[in-house]
Amino acid sequence: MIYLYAILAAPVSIPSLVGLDDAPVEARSVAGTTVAMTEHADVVPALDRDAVLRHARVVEQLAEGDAAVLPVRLGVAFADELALQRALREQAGDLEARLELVRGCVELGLRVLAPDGERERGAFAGGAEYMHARLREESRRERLAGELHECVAHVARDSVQRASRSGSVLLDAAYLVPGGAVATFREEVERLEQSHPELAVLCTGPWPAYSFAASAGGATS
Amino acid sequence: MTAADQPALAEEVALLELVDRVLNKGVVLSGDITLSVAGVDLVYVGLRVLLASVGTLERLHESPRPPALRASARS
Repeated sequence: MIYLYAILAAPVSIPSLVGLDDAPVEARSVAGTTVAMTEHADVVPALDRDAVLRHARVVEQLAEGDAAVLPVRLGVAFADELALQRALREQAGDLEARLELVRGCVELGLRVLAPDGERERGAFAGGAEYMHARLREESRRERLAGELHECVAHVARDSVQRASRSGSVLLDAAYLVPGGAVATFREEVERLEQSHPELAVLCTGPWPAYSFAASAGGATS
Repeated sequence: MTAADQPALAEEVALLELVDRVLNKGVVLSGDITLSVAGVDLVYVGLRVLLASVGTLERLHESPRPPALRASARS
């Protein structure tokens, strides 16, 4: 069985890494695409908490190298190289385009939450008034989320936002940021925090470009 | 929550962000083997609840330095 960690821009030499079940990670060219993989003869690796961390560590170490890296989602495996070839051929064009997109970039996460007190409260004369208030509140939140996004988006090459903004979550987004612009991105986030002290802001990363590894409708939801 | 709990909280938040990416993002190929995820889902659901809370984020920001959020993948 072949287990995948990442798609790599060729040609590439990778450091010595261990993957699931301590199997050595190998960079192999399959159907014109280079993959980081481990081979498992008999036992199918269990995807438990340790496997999540191991998978993530392999991807992170690969991403620390010079070559562009597309992280593969946990649990993508093939019976043999033939099956892998077929799957890679189907997506070769998209994978190549994605490698170009993420080259030289890291992913930064940004979550912005508004306390409940920020929402419009009060007594309403009737259902219609309540609905209008809800709509006003929704459009206010949409506008604020858009403003927050604009504050940092200009530093990023690309971005993805979670479709559903529910409850206290105003913005839940990932930004693809060139390595040299990470400090600028963080400065923008700090400015944003200072200008909106009522909001809770969390910036995470740098991560390998997980959120930019697949087209919309695939992994980016 | 005391200051001593902050690293633990930061670590949990980092773990959620990490698990979120590894389970839900990344390249998906039409593989012919489906590996089942064991035991991770429950951890994940609990962590999601944690990270949807403004209080969590505010406590994180009470620490003098932002937490090192990549630590979980290395520890």
